[in-house]
Amino acid sequence: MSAVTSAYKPDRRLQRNNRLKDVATYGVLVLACVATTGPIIFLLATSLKETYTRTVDLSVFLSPSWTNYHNVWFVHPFRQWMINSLIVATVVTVLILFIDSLAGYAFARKRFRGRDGLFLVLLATLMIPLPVTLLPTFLLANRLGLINTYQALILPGLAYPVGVFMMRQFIQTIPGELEDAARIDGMSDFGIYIRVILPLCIPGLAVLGLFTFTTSWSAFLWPLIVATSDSTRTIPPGLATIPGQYNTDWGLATAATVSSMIPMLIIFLIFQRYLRQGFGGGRTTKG
Amino acid sequence: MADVTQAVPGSASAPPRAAVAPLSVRLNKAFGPYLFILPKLIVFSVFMLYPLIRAIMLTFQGGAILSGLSWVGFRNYRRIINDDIFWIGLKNSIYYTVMVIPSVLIVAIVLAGLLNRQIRFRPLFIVLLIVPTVSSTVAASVIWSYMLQTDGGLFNRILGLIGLGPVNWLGTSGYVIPIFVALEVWRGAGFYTILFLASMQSIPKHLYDAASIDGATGLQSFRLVTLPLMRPTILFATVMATIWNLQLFDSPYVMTKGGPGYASMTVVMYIYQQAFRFDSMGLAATMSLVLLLLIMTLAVVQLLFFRKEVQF
Amino acid sequence: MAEVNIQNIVKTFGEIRAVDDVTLTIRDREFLVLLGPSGCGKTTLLRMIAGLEEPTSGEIFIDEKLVNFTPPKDRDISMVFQNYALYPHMDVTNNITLGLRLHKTPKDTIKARLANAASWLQLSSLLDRTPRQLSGGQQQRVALGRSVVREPKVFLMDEPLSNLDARLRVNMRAELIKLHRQLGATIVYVTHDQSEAMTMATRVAIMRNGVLQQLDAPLKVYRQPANKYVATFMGNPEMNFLEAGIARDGEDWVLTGSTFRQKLPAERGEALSKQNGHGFWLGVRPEAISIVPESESDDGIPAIIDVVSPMGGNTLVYAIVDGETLVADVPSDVEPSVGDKVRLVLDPTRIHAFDRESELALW
Repeated sequence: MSAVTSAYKPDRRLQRNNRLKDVATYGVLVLACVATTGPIIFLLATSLKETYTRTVDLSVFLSPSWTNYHNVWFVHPFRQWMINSLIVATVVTVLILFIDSLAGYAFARKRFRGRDGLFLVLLATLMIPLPVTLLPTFLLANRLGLINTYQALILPGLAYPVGVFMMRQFIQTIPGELEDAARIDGMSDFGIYIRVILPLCIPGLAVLGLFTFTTSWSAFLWPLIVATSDSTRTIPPGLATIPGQYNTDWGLATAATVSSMIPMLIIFLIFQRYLRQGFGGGRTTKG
Repeated sequence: MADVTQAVPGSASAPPRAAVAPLSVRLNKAFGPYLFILPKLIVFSVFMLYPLIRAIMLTFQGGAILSGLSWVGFRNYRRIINDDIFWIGLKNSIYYTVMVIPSVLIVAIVLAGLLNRQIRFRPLFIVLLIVPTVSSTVAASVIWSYMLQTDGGLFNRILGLIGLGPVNWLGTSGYVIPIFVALEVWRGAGFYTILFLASMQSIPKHLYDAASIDGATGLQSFRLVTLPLMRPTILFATVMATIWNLQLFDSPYVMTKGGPGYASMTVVMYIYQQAFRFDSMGLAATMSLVLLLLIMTLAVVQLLFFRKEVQF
Repeated sequence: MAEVNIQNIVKTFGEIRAVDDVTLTIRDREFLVLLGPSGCGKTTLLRMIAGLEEPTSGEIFIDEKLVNFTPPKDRDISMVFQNYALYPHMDVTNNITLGLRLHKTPKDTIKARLANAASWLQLSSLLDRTPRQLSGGQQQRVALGRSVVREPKVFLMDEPLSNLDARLRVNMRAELIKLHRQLGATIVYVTHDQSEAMTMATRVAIMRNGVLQQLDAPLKVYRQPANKYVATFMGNPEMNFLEAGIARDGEDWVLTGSTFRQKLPAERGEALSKQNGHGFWLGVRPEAISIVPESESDDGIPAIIDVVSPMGGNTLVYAIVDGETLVADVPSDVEPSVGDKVRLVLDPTRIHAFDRESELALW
């Protein structure tokens, strides 16, 4: 009944109720954001201090010192780790986008013998924990002399099947009529993939790309094993060495950690637009 | 039907010729689709299927990489049955997973539900919530190690403000696993929030209109419309989170090396030690296979559980 | 010359025979409509002509050339799709000209054809928009433009008007008729809408469960449906049916039902009496029924008026005969009231009879 009356004159109680809900909503969200960003601000503050002391206050942001960053980038091997991580994550992402969209297209649209069985096998291997394949892959890499090479860091990352699954789901939402039209316009199968499917997959590719890049960027266990020299070591195993190696120079450690987050943050900010587009935009469901 | 026969041209009376496709057409039809999956199939076979089979073989092998591997039958299996540390590791991994999944998923659903309301600054909130997610687990572990220092860490300084003594967070057996749980909620919630928010935004608005005409309040329509329609997404998130979290390695490796004692020893930590510290590939492979069986069982149970729910 | 010859075409999807031994010839410059409800195999047949689907058996000839294994691009056809299938990431110009460019058409030719089609379809001011920025009707015209610039031997159209609103659809019908006349093109057009078939087709092929039922000019099909199914499908409102037998009444043959007797011309009665195996369906179009007050005649079928639905120029009257509803399409000056007892008089020259079992037309 109150809903009916409120259509004619504002219902005070309902209004107060709504305001209360809004306050609670913003309150919880702000609190969550403090929890997620607070430690990082603390980290940033430490990294900007000339020398590490136990007490940190936010006044360092007014007179920041770049000593730690200078050390991280120009004295420490961190820069090489960063280059390695960028190379590995970029190559893995580009290759994954290509081979997974190619396979996803076939699984979504083509009819061929063994398709469903093969797809099931791919899906089932999502359950395989890394340690299972880690040991034989290490033996293989060892025998092929790939330890401390980019190939060893890149190739195993291409086997993970989740991208095929994601791309198949996405391509299934593209109307089949478009492919028919393309075929009548005179495109080959591969031409359709390049000129019709890929352009229409951009939101899906952005999601997969972001996911793959993040996964590759934070991969730890495998690089820890196969990249043992600074020439191929990526950031995560590198970061893990800092506390012990330098008797926990927190100034250096925090500066390196902050630096390691920056590329990911930039990439996320660039692709966030595509994410929201792929996820159906900023449509609201309530109100 | 006379009209139909009238339309048939004269040649129809000839016996139907069996049309045979040219070779190029047949080849393309038979092999064309395989060309699309070929690249994936190759890397998948070499770096997933082959290692899986090789891992199963490894469980029946002993010896070290340098000295050479030899067949040992079921010795590895017998050894892990009596290996207390392995079972402690397994128990710790399960304990961690059981705590982390409900925590991180509930936090994410609540945050996604709030972000899905008509609010200002939504993109800003999303970016701030996602910041920990884009840091790697190792970076997150370094950040938390820093905050958890006994001497001058952020946590202990806050405790100090209210007069509580410094706590040796990472040196106390009962605290370490809950700390990893908190770390993963902090780091992982953003990812699941985005996933759930996407799922919520794909729910057609008219369902909410219908629910509100039926008299549902905001919270009721969340329970009656949003949650049931998100079930596939929640199932997916739960299964994947189980698989990932049972493999906990990064934070214990960086923060505690499995200590104090074996309080934060996880299965994967132990597998790593066995394989790359003690060079017992066969033993490590056997342990990893036990982990695989555990994950498969849990995944199947979760799928069955959710299927029943969906039917209901 | 662009004749399409379809010989004993069969297409199966697993257990389902989507197209079941269809043989038909689409003549040069003909506007052939493939008509039937969804799932009758009409679209599958069209897709086989296009080359998007490969026949399980049988042969397709375009201009006497076997095309079973010719890829769509080499068949010299074009196609308009139900949902237009415009490339969302390309502007109108690219959507229209892509096929020509892929076929290595000279640039000048492309330019000329694009300009031509754009002016004819009133797209000239929209050429650099993307499909998202166009209305449904505009998208439809782009799809048509893409098809036209190819100047193909055969135009294939798969329910191209079904996503337009009613007014636009009627306008586009006229445009398509003009297109057909101007280009002298062979058009194969799939629809489930019998009124589109009626208004545009040179000939109409009616399909059901993958089987071709009848192929003829629309009016011929309307007047002489080959079976009860075709009779039902062509015409709106549908033909009325009554169960009937045949009997002799002195000199005359009469069709008899539980509540009626309908006199028949002698030779038709003669023909029916020879086939009186399992009885008949008496079929009559709404416009072949006239309504007279019960008092004025004892001829015809006694009925009670149930619903009167004026259409403007004519009126549809729904009357109940022995529990069945019959529709009569009468001039609007006939104004019966609901509940009136009337007699329905059937025009004896416009009644149809179908075998009860085979449902085939008996004349």
